[in-house]
Amino acid sequence: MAESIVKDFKGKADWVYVGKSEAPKRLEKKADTLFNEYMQRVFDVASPVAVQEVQDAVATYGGIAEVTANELVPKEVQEGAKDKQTLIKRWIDWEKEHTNPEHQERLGKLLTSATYMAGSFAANFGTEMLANSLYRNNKHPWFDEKTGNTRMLDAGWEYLTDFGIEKTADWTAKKIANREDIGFVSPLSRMLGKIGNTIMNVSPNFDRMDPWNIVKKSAWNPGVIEGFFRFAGSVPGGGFVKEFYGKANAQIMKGEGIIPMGTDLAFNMIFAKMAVPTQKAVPSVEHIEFPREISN
Amino acid sequence: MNNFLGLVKKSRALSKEQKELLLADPPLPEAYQKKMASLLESFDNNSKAREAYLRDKLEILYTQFITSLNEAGIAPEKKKELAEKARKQIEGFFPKHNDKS
Repeated sequence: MAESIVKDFKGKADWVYVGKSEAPKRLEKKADTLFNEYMQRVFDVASPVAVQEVQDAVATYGGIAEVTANELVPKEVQEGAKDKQTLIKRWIDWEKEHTNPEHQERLGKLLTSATYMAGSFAANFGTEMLANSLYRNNKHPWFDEKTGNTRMLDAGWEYLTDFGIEKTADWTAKKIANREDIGFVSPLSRMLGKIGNTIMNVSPNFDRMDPWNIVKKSAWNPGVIEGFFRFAGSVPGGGFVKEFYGKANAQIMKGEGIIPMGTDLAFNMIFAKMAVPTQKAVPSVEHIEFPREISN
Repeated sequence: MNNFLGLVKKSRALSKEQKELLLADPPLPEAYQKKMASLLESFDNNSKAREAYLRDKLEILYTQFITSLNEAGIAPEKKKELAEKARKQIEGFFPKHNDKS
């Protein structure tokens, strides 16, 4: 009874407020809104389940294809298909199947960096041999050791050949990775290469014809140094090398920190040492002989 | 063998053509049948579990929807129309599988 009174009152209130003809339309609109809300909830619940169903079906089809290939395709056909694959592809497939992916990645890094080290060393050694035959053994007076011309040529040759090795290493890395935004040699290796070359160039007792020194010069170039860092960083337990390498390169690129400062320091000290013969050539005050009449 | 044929016939993963191929003579090797049966059975079980879960959830939503229509005082004709529409939508989510037999 009370309910019917309330309903009756509500109906009258609607009639009074919105007008008699508007009340059913408002309710119809409300019903559509409720239906839309309901459909949204249904979609929220059903769509993840539908996605899961499709994913499961795809995985099942994959399994069916594999089972069909393994069980129904004759073994002779399978063997024949394998024979057609190259040896390298079969080896890579075998590796993928039988080795730990983490170890594979480490092995790949070690082999790549070792190849770069060996390649850069061999290239630099070749350029040293070329320098021997081009000018180091030349008996012309212009190449005499006392003129300093051979040392000058050596410094230039070393610079150019190291530059060529660095650019070749970068180029091969781009080609292998098929990316234009990468390189191989980092600023740290480039900088260390230059410091080492300068030291060898200005050392007065560095015999450039000594075979052992030729090996040292061949081993000291940006390609070998970079290869060494990458190799050492990939060896188990070489994490600290990787850490140092990353931080040092960041400092060089920012131009801040102990590494750039150390480089400036090293070059200043090297140039000071290089300047010693020039300084000796200047007579000291005690050795200057003044004219007698002035001294008297 | 019978188990394999039964699974193929009522499989939810396979199409009509795929079923015909698998049911055709000559009989397939036993190892193949065993592996296929395992795959088909696994998919069917998962699919049925998903369907049961979804039916439960949708039934709850349907009940809530009808309650909200009642509370809003929707006219019986409109309520009936929307309830039928909602029921049809629910059934549309479940393709008719021939696994009842």
